[in-house]
Amino acid sequence: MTQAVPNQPLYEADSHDFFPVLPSLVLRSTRGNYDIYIRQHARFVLYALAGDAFTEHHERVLLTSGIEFVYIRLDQRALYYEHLTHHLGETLLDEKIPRPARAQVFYETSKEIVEEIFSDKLPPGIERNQFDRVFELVTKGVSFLTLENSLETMGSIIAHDYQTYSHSIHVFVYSQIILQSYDFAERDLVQFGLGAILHDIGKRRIPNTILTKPGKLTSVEREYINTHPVHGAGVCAQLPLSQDAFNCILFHHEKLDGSGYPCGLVDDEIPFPVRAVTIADIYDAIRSKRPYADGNDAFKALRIMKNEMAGQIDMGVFKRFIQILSGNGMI
Amino acid sequence: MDYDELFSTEYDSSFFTISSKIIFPEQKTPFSIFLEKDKHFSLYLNSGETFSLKHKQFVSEERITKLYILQSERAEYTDYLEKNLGKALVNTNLTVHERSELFYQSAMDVMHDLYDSHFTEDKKYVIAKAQKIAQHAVTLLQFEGSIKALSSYIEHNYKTYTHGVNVLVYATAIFLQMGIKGKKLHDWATGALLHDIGKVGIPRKILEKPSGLSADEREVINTHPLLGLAAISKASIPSDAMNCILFHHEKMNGSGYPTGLAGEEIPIQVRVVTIVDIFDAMSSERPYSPARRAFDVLDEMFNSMHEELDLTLLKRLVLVLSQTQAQETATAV
Repeated sequence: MTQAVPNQPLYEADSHDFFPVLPSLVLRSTRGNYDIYIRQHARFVLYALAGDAFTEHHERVLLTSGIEFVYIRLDQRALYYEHLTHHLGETLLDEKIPRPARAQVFYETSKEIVEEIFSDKLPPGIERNQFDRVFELVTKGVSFLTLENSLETMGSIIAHDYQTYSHSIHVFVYSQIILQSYDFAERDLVQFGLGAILHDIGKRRIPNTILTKPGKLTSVEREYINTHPVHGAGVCAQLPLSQDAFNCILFHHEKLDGSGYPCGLVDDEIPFPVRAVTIADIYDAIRSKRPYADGNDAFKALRIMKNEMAGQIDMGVFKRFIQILSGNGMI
Repeated sequence: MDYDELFSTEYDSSFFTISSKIIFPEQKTPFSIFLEKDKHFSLYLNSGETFSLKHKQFVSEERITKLYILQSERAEYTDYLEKNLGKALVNTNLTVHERSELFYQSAMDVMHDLYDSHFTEDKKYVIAKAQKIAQHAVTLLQFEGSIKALSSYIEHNYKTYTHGVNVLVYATAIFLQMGIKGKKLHDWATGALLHDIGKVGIPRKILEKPSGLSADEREVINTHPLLGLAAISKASIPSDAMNCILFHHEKMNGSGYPTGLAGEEIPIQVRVVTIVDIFDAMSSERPYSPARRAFDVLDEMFNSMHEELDLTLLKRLVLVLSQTQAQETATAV
């Protein structure tokens, strides 16, 4: 990859498309296999070649020159994210990087990784290397979310446009914050997180025309959609997930009054971590703008849940969720 | 009172028999033991007393092979057996046949709890007991000749609970042959034993229907993998075993249910359970069909299900069966 641009004239860069990233995210001692550009007078100028180590000089120039963004070529986007994912752990816990920037990194990286597993419809299973990235992401995400006020930081970033992959990340964040307020071992929290982030993975096997249909679904379409938890378990059958993670995928549409699917579990039959995922799932769905509905603000979303779902969701967990949201200035 | 007079007392209660070898010497037995002579019973050891070496010697000198226990003390006996089974199964003073019999008795007890009690007992507790049974199968099957001994206890009148144990035995034998070990082996064996646990929730009149099922009834039966998951939702069970419950009706060509997984998307332990499941069902007497010879069943599986089954694993089943039966099975390939 390093043969990329040595003696080419700078204007070559004009024929590329770029995307901006925060300088603090590329300023790492380990450099990725992508070129870095800066913007000068409406042109993109090559600043560092792939593989070049950053010197302190580079770093000082960048940080003191008031540059807001550096730029990476779109065709090197995959390399950038691969590198970022690989170093996600250090990045997320690196106190030199401002907390919101780290939250942003987490969010962007997750979207990238999760979008990949949702959009890749063939083969039906998840490839092992894709899963390894998800596992890495969830592990790092779990530790990042244990930092104080992390939800507050995340809260300002969470967008409320509904897409299956961004929804999955939101459900991960909300359910994780709830479950971290109870007494669970980190290893369990990671499995809950995997279950949360993969809870809708079965939608890979539901036709898009049904998933994105505006307006009411026919009963046949509804029946079809309702198979997604079981398909989710099918998609994940070959992955090293624990029972807890599978439970979140399989049972996140179960209701305490037995009216849910696919099994119609009742009360105690619904495992505890699943209840948190269910609440996070419903909350984010009501909050977000969807093909058939506008979004609601946090207060209204919670009120709808309280008024309409009292017998269906675990009210103890729900109260805990409200406390957490208000404690983080999100209501 | 002399020895013969002992047998004159009338007992109202009914008894069940156990092998005299399975009472552990020098230990208290939490149930009473009776001897039988010409349909008369005599109390031999009171519940709570120790079965001493003297007792043991007496039993063996008198060539007493069967001991009698009151039906009303079955629960005590079951507990006792459960506690001591692990030790008994590795006790080489007992023949493999005796150990197999012990194993089958305990396994049947647990399966009765699972299916007949309809989980009135705490589910977690019963499922934990089932997991122990799976572990015992693993232990026993590592002894030479055990698969042969065990298969002689396999009943060919199909019942959901006997079926679970049969599938456990054959599937575990295949897993061992594949070189699977340790925790994975135990997890997979657990899945084999519990694969049909969802049938707890299917009405008996559908399960035991003597002739062809209607489309609606078929649909009800096809929910049993999901009902199985519902049954274990609160018990702690490894996900490899969970997959056996949920996916044992998936087929290699994607024609199965509930999700239509195909080929290697289906975890390998599930593919083994699927094959053994079909084999045991077809070779057993069922409400709608008589028992069939292993050879005929394998022949049909190879010829008319080759698109649905993993043939490499089916060949492994043939190898396992060839250790249990006449050579005819081995030539089925």
